[in-house]
Amino acid sequence: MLSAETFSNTRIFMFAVTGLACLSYAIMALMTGNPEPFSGWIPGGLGIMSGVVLWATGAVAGDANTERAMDEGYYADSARAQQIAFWVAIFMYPAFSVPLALDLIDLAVVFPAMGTLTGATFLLLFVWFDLRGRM
Amino acid sequence: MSLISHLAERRKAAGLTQAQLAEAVGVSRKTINTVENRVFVPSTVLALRLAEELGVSVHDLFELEDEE
Repeated sequence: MLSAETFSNTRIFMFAVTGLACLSYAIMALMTGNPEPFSGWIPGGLGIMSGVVLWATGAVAGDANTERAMDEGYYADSARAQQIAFWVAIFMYPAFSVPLALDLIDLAVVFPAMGTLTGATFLLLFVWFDLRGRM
Repeated sequence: MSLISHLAERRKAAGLTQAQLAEAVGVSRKTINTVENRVFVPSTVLALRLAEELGVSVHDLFELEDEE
């Protein structure tokens, strides 16, 4: 049976990989001006894969270990990451409106970049909070 | 108002590791670490569980910092 620590490590790994894929997608879209710098299925598929892997890990670890890994500390980290990601997502609208108004960037590029940046913000903040809490 | 935690001293006095205490009270080792380092303020339920497991009062584990 897998431990709560293994479940937490798996969650951190999957969130980090998915978050980095989202961040890479957004950065590459903005840098190249291409709304699909690589297949959108890569960040999307990693998100789906994270759900499947975490569900399977939870099933093998058992209810007690999964609940330990999803304790009040986990919910506190998740809530903090969501709060910040919410405001980052809101702030992106005025932030991107300036280069849009100046025709420095295409509307077709902005939306996929904003979407993946929103996902990356939550995922990478959660990873940061979790890792910092372990030190 | 912040919380002063004596959890680390009490845990060590009881001869427990963070992982053993976490297992006993049903949370992750990280949560115990964040409580000891004053990063996270535990819920009343967790504070009571910790006190019960270590055989002390909640007031022996936590106190409010005097802001005067």
